[in-house]
Amino acid sequence: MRNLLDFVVKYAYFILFILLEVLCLVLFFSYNPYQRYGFATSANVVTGTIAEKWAGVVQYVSLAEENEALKKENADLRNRLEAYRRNSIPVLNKKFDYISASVISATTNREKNAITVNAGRNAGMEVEMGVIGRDGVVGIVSSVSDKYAVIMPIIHPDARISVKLAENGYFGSLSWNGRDVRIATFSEVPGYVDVRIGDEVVTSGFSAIFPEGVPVGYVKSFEKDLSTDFYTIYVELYTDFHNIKYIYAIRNKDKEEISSSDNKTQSKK
Amino acid sequence: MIDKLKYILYFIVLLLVQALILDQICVSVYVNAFVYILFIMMLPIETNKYLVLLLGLLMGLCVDLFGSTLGLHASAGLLVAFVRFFALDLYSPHDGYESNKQLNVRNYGYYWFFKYAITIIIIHHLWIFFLENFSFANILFTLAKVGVSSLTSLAVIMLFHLLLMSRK
Repeated sequence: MRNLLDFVVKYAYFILFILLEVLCLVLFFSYNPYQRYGFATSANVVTGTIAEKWAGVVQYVSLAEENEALKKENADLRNRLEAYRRNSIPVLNKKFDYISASVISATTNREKNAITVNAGRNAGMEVEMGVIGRDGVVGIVSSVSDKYAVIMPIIHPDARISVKLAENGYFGSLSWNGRDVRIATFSEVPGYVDVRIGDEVVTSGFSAIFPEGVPVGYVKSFEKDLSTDFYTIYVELYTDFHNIKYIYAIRNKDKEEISSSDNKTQSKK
Repeated sequence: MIDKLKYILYFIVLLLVQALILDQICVSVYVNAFVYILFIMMLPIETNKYLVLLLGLLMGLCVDLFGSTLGLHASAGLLVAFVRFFALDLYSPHDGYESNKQLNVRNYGYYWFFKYAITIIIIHHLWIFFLENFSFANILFTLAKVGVSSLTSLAVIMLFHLLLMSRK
């Protein structure tokens, strides 16, 4: 009798474990990287506030360095603005708005990395906005709460960004294979294209997420798949994910029009 | 009561160290350190095993919220809580565990703690990395990650174990 009771108790424990484990796995596998609501991600108010406070302490040390970098960027932007003015090109139909934010938490050694920033819905952040940094493309906003947002960086297996070779305009998609945070894979370039090491890779502008021509990286090496006659190009990314302090999210003013027409095309198929 | 407060403090300290320090450091994709499982490992021997399961789940869920990895660490924390029961049984000393003695190196020795910790760490890391990768295509890469990260975690866990160990 005692043995039987022991057995039942052990069994109940096992059943409870299996039930909870199944629940966790359902959560894990049903997890959609593009969350409309941020409460289940690091954008939630509790973890966001803690991470922001902590980042405030840590980043205090690197403030001088960060200031210097911002000054340089500012000077560069002023120069470009001046060049525009001289050529007297009127800035008509400004399509993109930029929202700036500081990074409060960033993982880089995971398979599925995430960057949390201190701007959310209140600052105008929305899911699926493109995100750039000082040096180039960073990723795509994946979830937002009122005060914080989570960015899915290029170094995440679900991130896909439409890019092209700046030289000749051949385009394809950029993804990450989980191995090296500096290298992404650029695929779908046909084998007859002349690809050279050092060629710049920029955003294609075909998706409504990024403007055309934002720098992404440069061709580090490439190989041709003989059976399909397509290149696999390894791109060294300009963005240093180990050391990313602030970002700009891009709001595309025409996006609603574009995506609604996209949906129409899809529903016709 | 004081004991309960002590474990609540362990929970908070280990969670924050994990989320705010260890998860933010990047040496390489091979090096990941997970210290939060030390909380589950150090729970008193007489803790109700159902409570251990729930605490493992809760700790994992908190780590998930900080890292936007819903479900990954919750499932791993739960697994560790489950495995702890068998690991303690497997490495039980000749005269058994004493209920008033904390599970630490002073009471049961470095060799005992090493065996106990490395067993749990390896099971946890295999689970985390295979679940995250979810394919056996990169099996060597994943195993290399498990190996390197297990050693890193062991070192960090040992350090925090010695720091948090009670004076008695």
